[in-house]
Amino acid sequence: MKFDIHHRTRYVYASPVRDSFNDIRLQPMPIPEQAVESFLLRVLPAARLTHFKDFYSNWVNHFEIPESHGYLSIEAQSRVITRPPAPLPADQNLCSFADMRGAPSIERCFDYLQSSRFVELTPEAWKLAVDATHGLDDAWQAVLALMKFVHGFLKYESNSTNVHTHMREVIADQRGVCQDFAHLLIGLCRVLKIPARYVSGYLATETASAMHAWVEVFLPGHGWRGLDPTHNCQLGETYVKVANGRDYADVSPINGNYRGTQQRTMEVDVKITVLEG
Amino acid sequence: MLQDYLLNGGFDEMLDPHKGVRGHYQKFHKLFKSISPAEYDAKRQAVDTAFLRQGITFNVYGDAAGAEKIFPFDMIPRIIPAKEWELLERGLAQRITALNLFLHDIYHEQKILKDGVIPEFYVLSARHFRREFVNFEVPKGIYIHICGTDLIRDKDGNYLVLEDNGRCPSGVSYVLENRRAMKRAFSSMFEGISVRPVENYPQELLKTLKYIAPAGVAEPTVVLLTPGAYNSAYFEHTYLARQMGIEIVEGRDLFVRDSRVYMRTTKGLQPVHVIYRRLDDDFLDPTVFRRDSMLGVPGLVHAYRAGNVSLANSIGTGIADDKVMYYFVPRMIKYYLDQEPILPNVPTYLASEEQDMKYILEHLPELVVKAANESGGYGMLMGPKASKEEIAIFREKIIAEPRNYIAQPMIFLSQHPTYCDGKFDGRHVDLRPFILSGERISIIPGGLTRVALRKGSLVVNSSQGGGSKDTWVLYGDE
Repeated sequence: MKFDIHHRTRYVYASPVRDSFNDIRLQPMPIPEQAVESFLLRVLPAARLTHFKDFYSNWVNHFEIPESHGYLSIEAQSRVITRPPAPLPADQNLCSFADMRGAPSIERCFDYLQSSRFVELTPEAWKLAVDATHGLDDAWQAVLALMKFVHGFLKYESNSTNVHTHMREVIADQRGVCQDFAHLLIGLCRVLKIPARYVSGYLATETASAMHAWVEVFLPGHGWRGLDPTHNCQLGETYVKVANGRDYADVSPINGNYRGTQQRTMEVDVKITVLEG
Repeated sequence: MLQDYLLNGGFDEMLDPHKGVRGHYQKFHKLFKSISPAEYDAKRQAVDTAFLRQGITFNVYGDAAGAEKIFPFDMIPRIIPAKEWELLERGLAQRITALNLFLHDIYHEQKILKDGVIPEFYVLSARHFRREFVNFEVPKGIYIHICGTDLIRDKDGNYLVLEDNGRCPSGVSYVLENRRAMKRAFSSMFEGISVRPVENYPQELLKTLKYIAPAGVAEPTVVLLTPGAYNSAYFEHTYLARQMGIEIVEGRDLFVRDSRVYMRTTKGLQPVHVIYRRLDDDFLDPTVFRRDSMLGVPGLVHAYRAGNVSLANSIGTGIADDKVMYYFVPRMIKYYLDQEPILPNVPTYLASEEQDMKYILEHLPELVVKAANESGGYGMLMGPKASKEEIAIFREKIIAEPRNYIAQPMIFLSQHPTYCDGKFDGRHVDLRPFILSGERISIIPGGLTRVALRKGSLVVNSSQGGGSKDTWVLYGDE
C-alpha cells in the first residue's frame, strides 16, 4: 500500500525560550519491507537541518534554534510504500529454545537481551513469562503466547500512562497504551532470552491520530519479525516503521533541550492518507 | 641520614637489601649528606610556604572542612636510571598504542569481539561505552590523547601496571611544580646530577592539542574546559592553561551556533577549534548526555560530530578506564600489535567469571577489591586491612553486581626514604607517568611519584592522605 503521512508537532511556550537543540527521529526507515518515496521535514522558526545515523541505524535529523522563540513547529511529511512479508504460520514450531542460543552469533542482539531504561528483567516479569509459556519449547510459539498474554493482561486506556512510564508500573497497574504494551512484551521476551526490540512507527489507517509502537523479535532463520501486542497480531501492510532501539528512550521522535520555561503546551497532529490500496 | 632506616622486607627504591645505596642514588646521596639538618629544615619550610602561597592545592570531596589543601610534598626525590626509564617508555608507548587501536576497533568493526578475544559482554555492558559514537571518525583517529598510567613495583622491584586513566588524568601540574621547588631548594644539586627536564610538557601538550584541530584551520584556538573552582583539580586546570597560554573556560563561557563553538570574550565572539576538556563525558552536553548537567555546553556534541571542534580526550574513552577492561589490555597488545606486553598487569580476577568469583569470595580477606568505574581510591576494599563488617558488605556487593568488580592480590609496593616526623622513614610509592599521543607519542620523563605518608599505608591517592615527590629520570645509569 502507498501512504502519505503528515505528522505535525507544535509546542507553544508560556514565555519565549532559546538555545533549543533537537534530535528528530521521524524519517521512515529504508528497509526491504517498505520504500520511502519521499520525506520532508519542515521546522519553524526556520533552522538549518543536519542528519546522522545512530547506533541502531535510525536516521536522525538535528537542528538548533539559538534565538528566542515562542513556539516550535516540526512537520514531517513522508510518502511510503509498504510491502510486508507474509506472516509466519501461527500454528507451527519454527525455532526451538535450543536454536535461540545461537542468536548472538548471527545477529548483534546483546543490547536486546538486557534491561534498558524502561524495561527491566525482574523476577516478576520472569514469573509472568514462564507462566504464560508453560509447556512450550518453541520460541516462536512462546512469543505468540506472550503477545496474547500481554494483550489480555493489560487494558488499553488512553492517557493512563505517559512517555516515561516504566515496565514495572505497567505490570502493577495492568493498563497502558501501545508504548506500554510494547515495553511489557519486550521484557517478557528478554527474560526468556529471546532478543526483542522496540519499534516506533505508524499504523497507517485513516483514523490514526498518533504514532504507534510495536515489537520485533529475532528468530534465527527468520530474522527480525514484527508483532503488535496492542492488537495481538503480526504486522501487515498498514505498518510503517520509523525507528528501532532498546526501548522508547532510543527512538523518542523529538528529543530536545532548551533554555527557558517548563510551561508549554504540545499539540500533535497525525494525518494519514491512503494513496493506493 | 639512614642509620635507623628500616627496609621493612619490601623493595626499597634507594637502598639494596644490604642497605647499600643503589648506583643511581649515589651522587644524590653524597650531595645530600653535606646538607645539615638545620639547612634541610629551612629548605623544607621555604618549599611548603611557596606551595601554599602559589595555591598549589587540591580539594577533597566529602571533606567537611571543604577548603583547599596543599598537596604534601616530600623533598627526597625518586630517581630512575636511564635504562630502567627506557623500558618504561617502551612499555607505556606500547600500551597507549594498543588502547587507542582497541577504542577505534570497538567503535567501528569490533573485530576483537568478533574474534572472541574479549567477550562481547564486557564491552557492551561497560558503563562508558558510548553507543552514540559508534562509526564516528575521531580527529586523526586518536581517542586517548592524554593518558596517566599508574605503575607500581612489587617486592622484587618489577614494574607492574596498576591502572590506566584515559579520561581526565590529573597530577601533571604537581610534576612541574615539584621540579621548580626542587630546583629552587637544591639548585647546586642539579648542576652535579644530570636530570632530564620536564619543563617542556605544556608545550608538548599544546602541540598534541593543535595536532587534532579540524582540517583547514591553520591557527587553531585551543581552550581548556573546566568544571569550575569546586573541582578537585581546579588548580591544575588554571595552571596548565596559563603554562600553555590558552584560555580556561567554563561551560557558560562557550556556546554553539550552527554546529560551531564560540567563546565569549571581552572582545566579542571567538571561534574555538580544540577543547582540552577536563570534564567527563556525562557532563559535556546536556542535550545528549546528562540533562541535569549545568557544567556543559548545549550542542557541543553535535558540533563535535560535525567535525567543527575537536575534543581531547575523545568521547567514549572511559571504557578504557573500566577496571574490567584493564584485565584485557595484555590481550589487546597481543591482538593488535602481535607483541608480548613489556609492562605486565597486576594479576586480576574478574567477578563475572565463575572460577574467579569463587576464588574472590573464598579469599576476600587477602585481596584488594575495586569497583570497575571508580577512581581516586574510592569504592575499594583492602581485604587485609578491612574489618569483618566491611568484608561482608563487599561480599554482598560483589554477588549482587559481579560485572562491576575485580579483585587483585595485595601488592606490597616499593618504599622510598621519606621525611616523616623528624626523621627519614620508608613510605610506599607509586608512579604516574603522563603519556601524550598526538603526531607521535611523547612521555614526560618520570611522572608523578605519589607517596603514602601514613606509616604502612599502601594507598597513595591524594584524597586518602598521599603526598608526592619529584621524580628524576637520569641521562645515564648513575
